[in-house]
Amino acid sequence: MSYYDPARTPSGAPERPAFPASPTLAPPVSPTVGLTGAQAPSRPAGAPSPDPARDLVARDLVMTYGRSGASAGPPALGGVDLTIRAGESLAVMGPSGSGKTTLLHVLAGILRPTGGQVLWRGRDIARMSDRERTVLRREDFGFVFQQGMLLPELPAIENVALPLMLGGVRRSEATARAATLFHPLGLSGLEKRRPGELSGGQAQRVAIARALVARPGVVFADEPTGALDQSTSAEVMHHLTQLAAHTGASLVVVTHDENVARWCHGVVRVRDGRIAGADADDHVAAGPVQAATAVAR
Amino acid sequence: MRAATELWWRLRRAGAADNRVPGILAVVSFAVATAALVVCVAGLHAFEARNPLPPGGLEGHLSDEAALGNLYVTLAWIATTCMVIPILTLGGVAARLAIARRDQRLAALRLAGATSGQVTLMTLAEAAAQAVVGALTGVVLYLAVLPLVARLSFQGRPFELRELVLPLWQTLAVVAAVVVVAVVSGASSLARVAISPLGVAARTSPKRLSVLRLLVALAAGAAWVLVITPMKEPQRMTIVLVLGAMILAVNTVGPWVVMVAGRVAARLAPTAATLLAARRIADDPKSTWRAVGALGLAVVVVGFTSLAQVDDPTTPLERYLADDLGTGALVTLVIITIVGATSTGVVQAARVLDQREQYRALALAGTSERSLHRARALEVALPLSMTIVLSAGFVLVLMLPFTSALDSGLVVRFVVTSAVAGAVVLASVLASRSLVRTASRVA
Ligand SMILES: Nc1ncnc2c1ncn2[C@@H]1O[C@H](COP(=O)(O)OP(=O)(O)O)[C@@H](O)[C@H]1O
Ligand SMILES: [Mg+2]
Repeated sequence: MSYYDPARTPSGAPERPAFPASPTLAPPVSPTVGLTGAQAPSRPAGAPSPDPARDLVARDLVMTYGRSGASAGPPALGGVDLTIRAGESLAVMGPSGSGKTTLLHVLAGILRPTGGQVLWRGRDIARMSDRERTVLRREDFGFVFQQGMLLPELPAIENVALPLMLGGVRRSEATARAATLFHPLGLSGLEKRRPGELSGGQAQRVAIARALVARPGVVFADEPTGALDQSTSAEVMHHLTQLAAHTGASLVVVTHDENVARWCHGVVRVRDGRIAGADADDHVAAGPVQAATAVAR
Repeated sequence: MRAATELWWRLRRAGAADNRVPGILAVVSFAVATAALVVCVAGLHAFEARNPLPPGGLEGHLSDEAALGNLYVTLAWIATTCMVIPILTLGGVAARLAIARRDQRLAALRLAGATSGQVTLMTLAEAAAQAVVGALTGVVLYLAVLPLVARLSFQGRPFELRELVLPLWQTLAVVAAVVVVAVVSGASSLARVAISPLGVAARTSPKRLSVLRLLVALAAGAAWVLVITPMKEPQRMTIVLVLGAMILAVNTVGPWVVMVAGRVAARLAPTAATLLAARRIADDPKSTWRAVGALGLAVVVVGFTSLAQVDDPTTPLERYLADDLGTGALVTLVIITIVGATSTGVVQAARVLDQREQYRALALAGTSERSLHRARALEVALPLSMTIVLSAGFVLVLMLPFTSALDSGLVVRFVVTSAVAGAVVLASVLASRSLVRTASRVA
């Protein structure tokens, strides 16, 4: 059984978008991360029309922390419109405290926004119950954190298999599916190691495997390379973007690092809780391929 | 030194919210351990006062009554021996707790230029301070439960408060002993946690426990058969010493058995919760054993004393003896259950605090709080049920030859008692549910 078997659909799970036909390392050709609304520049010409059944769409998101009242500070998000197309990667950049993490958490159904909508496959996440959102995060989304956040008592392979087992997949199948991810991530032979016995980059690649093992529709990563050095960062981003592309998952990466953003199809810049600018530009389209070949030994 | 002390104090204040819970847990553990220890010593004291040795001493000829009184004192010593190890263990748990969550602060102190000697001193001072507060609280706790203990009736009459109140110097000696245990076990765990400026080593694959442990236990079993059984009338101290050695031997082999069982369970675990629980058990078999071992022993003691009432009592004194054996064993079980529940509850709470971030990450990734609770409950329930079933089964099998004399009512009572003790320890996991909820709160 191969992880990259496009014909296989996990029983009981909603049908996933088909994997790209050819398993090359090239990113999708046209950057189609789009912005709508007042601040948004017009979408690059030639972008495919939005497909609400497969996109993650945010409309006029407002997020104010704390109790509503006079004492509440300025909103952490002040009206954000954003569309993330199926299979695309988007970097979210901006100064510290600008609302990047808040945006990510609202998009991922972790925080309920004070106002606005988050549409995932046509349903408004913001209106779902806690329970529904928990199931959604388990089944449709994947997460990579700054530090791997792997469970120290489980070997790498079991850390990766865990989300599947939590979703009710049998142990043997979960382990088998987890195992197929180790080779593509350059982790062969490290299956039995504990997180404490992995380097930072290795641990982060295990975290990537864990985020992708349930074949999520979107992977959310909050400063996934924040604790890594330059070259390890590049390596981790290479694996994250390529594996997400292979499985057809969209990717939202919060980062401080322009080098990291370069791996994504598009970049949005957040300032004071608003989208201050976006580029879905030339260097992005060309960058990852060259960098990828440079890294991919 | 001055600057380091100041920084230590400032970090103490700053980290207050973070460190308050482990601090409270440590104090509670010290308090329960002290209270249990004082109750044990007080009981021992009372039995010795009630049954003074006749002038001839043990060597001389004893009247029946004196011999029986002497037996009571021996049994009280045996019960105390059974209880002391879990109590000391709880003291050790508390001490480690007083030390364990200081990693970041220790590292900060080292970076700020404190020598490792200074850091060690400050940390141990803090552990000792918590031990003193906890031990004094424990003495108050003991005074509070005295009226309850005084309602127990042995040798046909209830204890009098006067019998149970320890002289002040003995009470202070127990407090001092608890503080010494805290400092010694604190120092030994500090020595293992190398205080480097960059913090402590990350978690790695656990080392396997040696099979030697099994051999030690077999040797102890052989010693029992070869040394004690042939003795016609062993001295009280001999019995106590050998019994202590036996308990130590069981405590040596226990973690090894737990490790093997945990590894097998980890290999076979079908669900995520079971897998996590089994891995944790196999990773730290010693602390798992600490949580359940004493309870297994207590179940065995209760089993033998409550079921072995076979021969007809002839004198009134013998009739008391039969009942008193049951009462004594039950009291032992109750104390061990309370101590065990405290250990388990505290260890579980500390674990949640240590793994707060992982819990949050799991929750963000869509793990329901129920799954987290289930993994923790299983982690305690698996070894606990195994220990209780094995211990109770062991007693029932040994008693099988006497089936004709076995009263099914007594058997049922024994089984129910054991199950209740297990349930109480398991329930201690519930105490840290709110910590899990806080740690895994998503928004
Ligand atoms: N849990 C919270 N409660 C109150 N305010 C918060 C919380 N989390 C973030 N904020 C505030 O919201 C703003 C955006 O924070 P965040 O999204 O974490 O920014 P970034 O990730 O870009 O550094 C900041 O002003 C921050 O102080
Ligand atoms: Mg952030």
